[in-house]
Amino acid sequence: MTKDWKTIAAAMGVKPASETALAPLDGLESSFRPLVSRLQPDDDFAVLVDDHEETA
Amino acid sequence: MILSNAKLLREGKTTSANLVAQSLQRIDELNPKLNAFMTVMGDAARARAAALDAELSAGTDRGPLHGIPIAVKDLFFTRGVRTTAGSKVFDDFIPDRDADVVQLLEKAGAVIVGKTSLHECAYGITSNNAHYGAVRNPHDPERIPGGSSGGSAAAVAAGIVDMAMGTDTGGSIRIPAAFCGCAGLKPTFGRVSKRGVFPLGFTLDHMGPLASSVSDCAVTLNAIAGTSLDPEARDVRGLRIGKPENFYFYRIDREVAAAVDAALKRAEAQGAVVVPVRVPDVDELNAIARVILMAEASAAYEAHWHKRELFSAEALALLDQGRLLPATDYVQAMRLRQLFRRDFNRLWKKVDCWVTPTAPTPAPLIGQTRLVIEGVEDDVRLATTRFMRGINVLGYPALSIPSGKSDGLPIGLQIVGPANREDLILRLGAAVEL
Repeated sequence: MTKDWKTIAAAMGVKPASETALAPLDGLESSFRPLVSRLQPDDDFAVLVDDHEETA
Repeated sequence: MILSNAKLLREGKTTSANLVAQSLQRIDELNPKLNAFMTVMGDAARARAAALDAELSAGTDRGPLHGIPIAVKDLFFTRGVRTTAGSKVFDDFIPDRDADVVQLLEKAGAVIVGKTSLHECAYGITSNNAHYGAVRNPHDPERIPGGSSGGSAAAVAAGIVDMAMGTDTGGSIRIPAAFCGCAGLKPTFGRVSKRGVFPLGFTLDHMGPLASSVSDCAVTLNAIAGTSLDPEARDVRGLRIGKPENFYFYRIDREVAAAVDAALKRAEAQGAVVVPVRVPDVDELNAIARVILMAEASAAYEAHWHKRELFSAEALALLDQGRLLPATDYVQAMRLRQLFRRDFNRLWKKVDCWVTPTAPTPAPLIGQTRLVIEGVEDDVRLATTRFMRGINVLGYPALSIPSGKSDGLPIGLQIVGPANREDLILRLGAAVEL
């Protein structure tokens, strides 16, 4: 386990339906975390424009 | 096809009433086997068809969708008609307004015959719905139609309607289109209004048609996005088509790869140029996609988290996973998204579009959770969305078209284009679709 998801879940009041319900987070954590280290201060938040919502 | 039916209508060889009656009859015959429809709107459709026939006779012509029977995924609000999102949470929800898309389609003269079945909350790709039953693939009822817009794809593939609206957050239009052998268009993000559609991924959701042909997708886009595309355009002379050298042609069935190559040959024969390209790391892009989707989907359903008994174990697991992601991960994923968009945008200097398989295999069996491709075992959901999710992060338009069969099952080809260039991918799609 990359993180103790069971403890995190308990702290957040989440009661997973089964022992394996949170397992996919492990794979995600190991593929996503290394990407974060690439970010530089100038790298901004993505904003996707949806004109329909903006002009509503 | 919409255009051929539109022609017959104007020649007086059929009526909207006839087309709608045929469509409703096919629902009666096939829906017990396919479970493609959640709700059938027979009486309303018949009344509307009669009114539209009268309108056409009186000289008012709303365009190619005038009098054409269609369906919409049960994720789109329909005023006075139950809209479930495939979820028990909304089992008795009756909206008091129509989705923008529904309004636009009706303004264009389309006749909605029913609401199509889907994966629970549109959060999955099998359409094997724990509450409302499995939707079945018309090509083999033991197989999934794909999802989450599985009912829409099944309705088109079974010849019930020429077009059914779907939504696509990580492949939910394109995957069912590929598995059922129809065309499916995910337009550019923001091109089509999302108002009045249950959200799943606020920055990933796209509304688009599943249809019996590429031209039907173009006709529909004109109605729902206000574009003026020529539905019969198919000139690809000089078009630069990228064929990715990395990622997209690994861990796929041999027949799927061969179908893409055959389509590229057809395009070359019509004057297009195939250009080998290397794309940025799509596995990394997919990881970003999963973080964004899980966070957004859990936020979308936050008001209903406490109704745990109303969700399947599969949906609950995904919603719980999303709740555990730190807010910082979502922010970092959105920053990474920007980096990847910049990198992918550079491709457009070299090519006008690029092609990939839609899914690595034909439709899996209902209930199948694992599949093995080239000796590598993978989760069906993750394997099937490998070529899909990233495109939702980038917001590019993408089209899946039928490109052949493997053991009698349809396989699909995906064409990806720059933002707001649906015209270009539709043109190529029309030129090479089978």
